[in-house]
Amino acid sequence: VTTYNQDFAGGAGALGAGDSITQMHGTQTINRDGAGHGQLSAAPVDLLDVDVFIVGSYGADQMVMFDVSTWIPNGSVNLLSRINTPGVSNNAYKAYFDDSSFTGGGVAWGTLTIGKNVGGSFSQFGSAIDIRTNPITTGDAVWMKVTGASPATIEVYRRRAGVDVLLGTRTDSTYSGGNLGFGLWWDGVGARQQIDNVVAADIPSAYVAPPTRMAPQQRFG
Amino acid sequence: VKRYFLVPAVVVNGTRGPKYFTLTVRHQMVPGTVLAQWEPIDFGNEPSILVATDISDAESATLAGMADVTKFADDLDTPLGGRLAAMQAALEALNLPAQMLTAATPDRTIVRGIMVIFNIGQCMQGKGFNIFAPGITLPTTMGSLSAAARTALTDCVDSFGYDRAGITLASTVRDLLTKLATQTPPRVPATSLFAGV
Repeated sequence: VTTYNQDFAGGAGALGAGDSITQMHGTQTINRDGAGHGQLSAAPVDLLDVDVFIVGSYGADQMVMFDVSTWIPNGSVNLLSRINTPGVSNNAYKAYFDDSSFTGGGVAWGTLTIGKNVGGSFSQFGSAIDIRTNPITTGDAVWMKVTGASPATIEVYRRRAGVDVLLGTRTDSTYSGGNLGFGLWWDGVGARQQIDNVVAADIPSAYVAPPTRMAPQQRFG
Repeated sequence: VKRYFLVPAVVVNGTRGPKYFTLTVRHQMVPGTVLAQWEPIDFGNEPSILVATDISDAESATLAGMADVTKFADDLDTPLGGRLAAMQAALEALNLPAQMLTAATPDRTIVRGIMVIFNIGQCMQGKGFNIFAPGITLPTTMGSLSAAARTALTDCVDSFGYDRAGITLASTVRDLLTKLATQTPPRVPATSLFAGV
């Protein structure tokens, strides 16, 4: 079992040598601000997602989680799992949140979309999911669990005050083991979308809750 | 009302989904001709998607009226009857074997078979292959597939636990898909619109 913990503590500047995060595509880097949150280092050159991956020997059952440190309008975050071979094939399961698809935005994300990056396009697993009854905002954590192969089950959760709420479930029959990752999307206006405390890990197939985060000094990438 | 359709796949600004349905494209919802909630079983890299949708009578009629859409009976246990020839033509046009259908075949049998075949298509897509790569059609023999594609295809079939006994290099893709179409579709969550099919 490989567990990865990314705490963006340490003040402003580029990520440290132990922060083994690599861009999957795009031209931006994930930086950390003075408050110890991860964010885009500069305005994106376009509105493409900036996805990164976390290198690790993850099995078929895996999860990725992070805190939404600062929610902003017109921002979005991506949860990525089973990333095939970043840089060669960016195939991956992907879930992202928006405030733009359903009304009621302004303070939280109310839309969840689940699908997969495959062959250079995003294949959507059904309608966008209306999560306005369990919206995502500053201080929440979001996580995605992928289990099984035939079919794979993709579950997306919100964690608030230690309580997990299942936001959406989709299935798919594409099996591709591989890396975990996360992404940020930002329209370049105003504040920057920030996340922190990224956890990526294998999970037993029957496991529901993500593992407890390790202390920063225990992390390894 | 829960209904099932075969629709063309479209790619809108990098997002693939079923034609006529609402997509989320680059963080913006793009309304479709019909606004009903939908759930897909995609045919991998092939150009069609099986859609389960909770749809009104009016939107169902709109969708069913599209020339490139195949609607299955509201009651999936309805025998094809007089719809046999049209159904066979529609399926064969999408590289789905339909020679085994009869007037007594219920729509449920067809939908279940498509669920199996499309899941194999997804698996092939995940391995970087099409079932129907250029030059490959239903009459193509398994021996004519590239070794890599054949390995991927058999791996997909085996990973689902499907039976491919009797399929040899002389068998055709039609033979394999016909055999698969009689087997049990993959599990889906109880909340899925495909549950109970």
